[in-house]
Amino acid sequence: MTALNPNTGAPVSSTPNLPFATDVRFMSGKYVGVDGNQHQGTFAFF
Amino acid sequence: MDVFEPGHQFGDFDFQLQDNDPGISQSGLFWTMPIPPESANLDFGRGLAAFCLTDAQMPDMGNLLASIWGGGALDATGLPLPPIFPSSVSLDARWLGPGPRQKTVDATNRFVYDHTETSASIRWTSFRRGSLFASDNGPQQVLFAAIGRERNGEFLQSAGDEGE
Repeated sequence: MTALNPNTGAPVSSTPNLPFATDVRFMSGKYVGVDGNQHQGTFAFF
Repeated sequence: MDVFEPGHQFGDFDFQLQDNDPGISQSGLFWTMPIPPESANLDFGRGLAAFCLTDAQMPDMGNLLASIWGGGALDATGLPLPPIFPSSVSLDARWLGPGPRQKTVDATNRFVYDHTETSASIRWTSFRRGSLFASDNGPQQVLFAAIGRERNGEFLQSAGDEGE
């Protein structure tokens, strides 16, 4: 990751590269809701 | 998305700078949020998938412990956990380079999982309190990536489902 100036988008030169980790998943299909009924939906897990 | 100080990695929570996730709902569903259907696309036959979000509201929990216990709470040693701040994220995740198809049929736990392991990459931007972080073109290490189809529970009704 690189820190950027939010106004210009330019890298903040004093900030070194930062390591990051991520676990991203998406799911699309039918599921049973807490109401006990079937639904169709799309969800993401982070 | 977890960001760490230089020289640190996942697990070094005392050196974590940012933790974007949707939080834990009262039902116990954790780190999961509904997304627009058009944001996720899957071509299972070709082993490709893409997931793109723009400016999704997703709090910065500070670190994993605060994400689990809540911002401002105390950790196991009595030290305060970081506060939670509003944040927005954008991402573009891609799955590609499929391997062989693999199918798991588990009659005991009643699920069928048909999947292929892939490679993956992600571009990510997060904005919080006037700070903007963006992934760069540095190398990414993929520990595991896959696309698949799963049926379980009441969606696995027949013996034919389990044996197909």
